[in-house]
Amino acid sequence: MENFNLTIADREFLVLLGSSGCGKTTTMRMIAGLEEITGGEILIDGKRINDLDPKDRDVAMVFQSYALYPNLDVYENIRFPLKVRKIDPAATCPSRGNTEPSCTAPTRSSA
Amino acid sequence: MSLSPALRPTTSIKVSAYLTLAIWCVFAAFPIFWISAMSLKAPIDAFSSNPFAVILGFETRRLGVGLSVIDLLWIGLALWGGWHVATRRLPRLVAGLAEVTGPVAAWALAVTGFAVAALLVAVVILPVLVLHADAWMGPLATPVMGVTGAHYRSVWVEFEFYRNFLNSLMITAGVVTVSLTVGTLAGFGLARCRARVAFWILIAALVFRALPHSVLVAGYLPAFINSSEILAPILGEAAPTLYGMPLPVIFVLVAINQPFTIWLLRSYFANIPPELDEAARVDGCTYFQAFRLVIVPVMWPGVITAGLFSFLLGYNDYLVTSLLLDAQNQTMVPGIASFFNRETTSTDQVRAVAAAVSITAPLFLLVMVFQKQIVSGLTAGAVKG
Repeated sequence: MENFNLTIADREFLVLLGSSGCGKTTTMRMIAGLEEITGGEILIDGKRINDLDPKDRDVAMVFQSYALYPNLDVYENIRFPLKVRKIDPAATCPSRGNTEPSCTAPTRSSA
Repeated sequence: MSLSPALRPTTSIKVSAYLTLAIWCVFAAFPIFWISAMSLKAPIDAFSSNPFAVILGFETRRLGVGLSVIDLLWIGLALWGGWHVATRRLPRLVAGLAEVTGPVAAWALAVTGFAVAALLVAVVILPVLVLHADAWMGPLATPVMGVTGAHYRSVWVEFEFYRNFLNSLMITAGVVTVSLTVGTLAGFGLARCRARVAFWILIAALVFRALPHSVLVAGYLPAFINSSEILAPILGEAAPTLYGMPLPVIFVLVAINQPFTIWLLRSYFANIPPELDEAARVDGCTYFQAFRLVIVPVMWPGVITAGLFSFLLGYNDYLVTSLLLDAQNQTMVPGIASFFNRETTSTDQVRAVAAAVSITAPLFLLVMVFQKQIVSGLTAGAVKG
């Protein structure tokens, strides 16, 4: 990737299009922090995030495949980001008091 | 699942396949069956040229206890019950325990509990049944098979084979722990690393894997003998002479086994899509958390397989343990070898055979408990998302 400039406004919906191998995925991976960048800057909210770990960038990403953790059930899959960040689901979303799981393994419910 | 007629094997193929399997089973099972039969007999029967004497123990029956049809039924029932508990009940129990203690501790507890229960049944409950339940059974209770546990008693009690057993346990546990810790971390790192160095590290590992074990032992031996001098600058007065202690044996066995473990685990990790740990990292995990919370649970069958291979290496090793351990730290395999080397009377030889059977018993227990994991580990290829 060379000479690429992009500014996305708050609440903007942006679609990247291009032929295969042109760097759409690489761009997103660089924003998420999964790909090291050799030059330039990435800013979110005016803050430089080049050296931040993916977990500290507060981004979400849906992968082309394998979006589910096969060892966890549906509830645990959804709760996982909260769990690793040690956030109590009930406290985050008080209107949804009932956080009891309906447990099915992802392989069964998403196949 | 029914195959289409074109793919269905013909009768002759089926017959020859089952025949081959049956013959192979007989060949594979014969030695263990035969030494089990020998170890329970008086020397006259054990070394008799008449195979029926070895199996049925005519002389042994005259000398001491025999097993009746009822007793054989009891033993069959105990074996079946053990198998049933290990395959049906235990996994559920472990699943329940794992919620509280975590999976590793749950399995360790389950294995220990099962082993203790099996030992209790085999050493306490069965003999009581065999000795005392015969009285009111009438004609079915007449002994048909001579059996004596005397050799096992002398091996384990008189010759203190349990020491060897405990030493084996310690060394095997050490080898498995170290090689799995290093192996999973290194395997994951090497599977995800795209640098050229990773390739050369793997080639180097392969070269070290190809070294004969004797080279490693011979190379380490002088260092271990002189270790108190070598380590003196770091540890001062407390520097130990490592030769004869279990720690250096664990060290050498890990050195022998580690390249293989790393290769094995690396290929398992390579089969797990990188998206999985990347998704975990975007979801808020550090690199290590992604490894521990997402990758290792998916990898479980592979870890079990690698652990099994390290276990077998540590458990069965003769060369390293016999050369590097002193008498009180001796493991089971060199212990058995020394039983065979005594060879003064034929009783000694039957004792050696009994010791050789004793070393396989823990393996049977482990296979019974872990059979599902072992099979899934050996057959698991890719992970489906």
